[in-house]
Amino acid sequence: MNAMPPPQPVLEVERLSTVFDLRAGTVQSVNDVSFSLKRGEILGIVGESGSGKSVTGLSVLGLIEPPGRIAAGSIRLEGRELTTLGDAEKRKLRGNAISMIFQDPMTTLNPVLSIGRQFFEVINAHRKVSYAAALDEAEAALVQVGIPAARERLSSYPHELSGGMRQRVCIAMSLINKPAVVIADEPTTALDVTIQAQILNMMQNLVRDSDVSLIWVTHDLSVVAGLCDRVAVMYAGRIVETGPVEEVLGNPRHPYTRGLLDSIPGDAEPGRRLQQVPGTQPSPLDLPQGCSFRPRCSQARDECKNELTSDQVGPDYFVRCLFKLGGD
Amino acid sequence: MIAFIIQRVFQGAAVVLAMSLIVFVGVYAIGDPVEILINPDADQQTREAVRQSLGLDKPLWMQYLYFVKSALHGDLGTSFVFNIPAIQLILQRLPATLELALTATVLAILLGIPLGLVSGLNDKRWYSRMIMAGSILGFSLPTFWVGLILILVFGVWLGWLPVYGRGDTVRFLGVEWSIFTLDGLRHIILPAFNLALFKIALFIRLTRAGVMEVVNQDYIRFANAMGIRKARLLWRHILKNIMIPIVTVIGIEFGSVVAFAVVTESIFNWPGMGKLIIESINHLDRPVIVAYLMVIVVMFVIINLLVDLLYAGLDPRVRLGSSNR
Repeated sequence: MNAMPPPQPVLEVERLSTVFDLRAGTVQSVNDVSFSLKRGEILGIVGESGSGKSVTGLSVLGLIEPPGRIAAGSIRLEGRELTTLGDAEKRKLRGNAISMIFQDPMTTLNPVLSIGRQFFEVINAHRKVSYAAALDEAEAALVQVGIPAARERLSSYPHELSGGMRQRVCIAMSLINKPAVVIADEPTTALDVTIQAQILNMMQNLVRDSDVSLIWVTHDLSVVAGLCDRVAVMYAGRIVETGPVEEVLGNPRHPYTRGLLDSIPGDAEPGRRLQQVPGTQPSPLDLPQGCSFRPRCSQARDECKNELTSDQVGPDYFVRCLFKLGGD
Repeated sequence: MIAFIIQRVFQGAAVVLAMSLIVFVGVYAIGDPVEILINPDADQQTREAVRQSLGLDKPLWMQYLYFVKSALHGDLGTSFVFNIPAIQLILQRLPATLELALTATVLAILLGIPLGLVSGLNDKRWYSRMIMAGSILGFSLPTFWVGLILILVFGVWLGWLPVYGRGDTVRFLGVEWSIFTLDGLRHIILPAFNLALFKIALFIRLTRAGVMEVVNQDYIRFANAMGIRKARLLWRHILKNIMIPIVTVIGIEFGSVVAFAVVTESIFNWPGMGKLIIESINHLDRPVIVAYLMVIVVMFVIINLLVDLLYAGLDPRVRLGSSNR
């Protein structure tokens, strides 16, 4: 009966709230968000624009700048609390222990610095290396992400590479200092579908080989289905449903997740009207009382105006809804 | 690259030729130098003799062709007033103006760009507002007035700095320089600052605008997310991206300081080209005016060529070539 102790999570986010103090009022971009990430795990964070998924990623990286601030909660990386660190310590972690991949590879690389120089900058920010040694390391990293003629590419400038190439370069750069956690903010949204499939495939291999943990922020459920181990669905700053990918996408318990899944045109009969979630996200300045999804929800009742809790419905599976569709 | 330079040299030659025509006709139009050069009591015969000796009796087009012919042989004419070659007169005065312009430009770069960076990075802070307010003053205060105030404050009231002439000079590469002597440096501070003030304001605004645009770019956010140090981010990642407009303006401004330092040179009695050109205009000393403007045109052509070459060094996306000019 000696069960293996569950492995210590790499990243634990607990009751995180990130707010923006605007003139019009305080915006709760991330509201009471908790999740954890095991080594080598891929977590998908899904939601509409403005649901707080990107801000969650930036909060973990310590990149929230005024007027934004982390109002409450804790972020622990390998047991170390990040929210109380000073700017200098946060900088040492960024690109080193936690790193990030951005959405648009066309604008993510500095246009006036060569690829090799940018690698050197990223390495040199965290380790003392010679330029030549940095280039060797960069070359190996480029080979790993499948860039042909890697050595020559190092003297290229970003405008000489295609979008897919640039995203590979960005991925190689974000992994060069062997981070424990990588946050990818819709990194394939700006790419062609074929390139997107290549990149996803490559990311899966990289995660398996290097044991890095990945947070994949996206609005594309099909990407989540193919790539992630677990998924967290965000709505209006809150995680409304989180659990293993097969369960959440196969049998969603929250009406919003169900709505998202129904909105994918793939399953629709040709010629029929496409499904959609009626209405729009509430203004972050004026969130409805209780469940924020209530005004758009077909199941909504008066009880939904009461404060909600996130209830466990299975191992690693939480839903923030009174009704919990499907299942039992 | 070579093709580019050759092409630009030909373009430059065309500009110089066009300018020479405009200048020549323009100078011809502003008056008859003979009236100023000789004693008003002289009789008609003397006037004719002078006119003939200066070549002013010929029709304009012949004068111009004669000028072009001599210019191609390196002779830009002889000063009516001093009776020495105009180009020699100008080259004598050039070092004084050059060192003044250089000092002013360096001063403007060293003050303007860092202040612009600071105010662009923290644009809401009180000191950024102060810098911006100061730059408005730099733009709007007239140079001559600032020059007079500088003389009054630092020369007359405080007595810290000399306000007249170049001070001690030292011979270097065959010409006299004052920036290489201590006394000369003391003399150059006030006029150089006077000239630099407008440029400081200009560089502050230009740098600030560039920084504020670049700071929000994805590649700066990415560099930040990769943990690049602040100072490094600023000097290597941001500054290099905003240098193109700044280099352009530095080039133009340096040229215009050399060409039009007239006011400052007059106020501080700096014996440079500006003073020479004012005197030449007063005396309608046509060859000097024409030669001076030719020198300035050539200088601008060269500066523009250098700026274009610098572009290619600064931004890998710039291709120097003939393709679509």
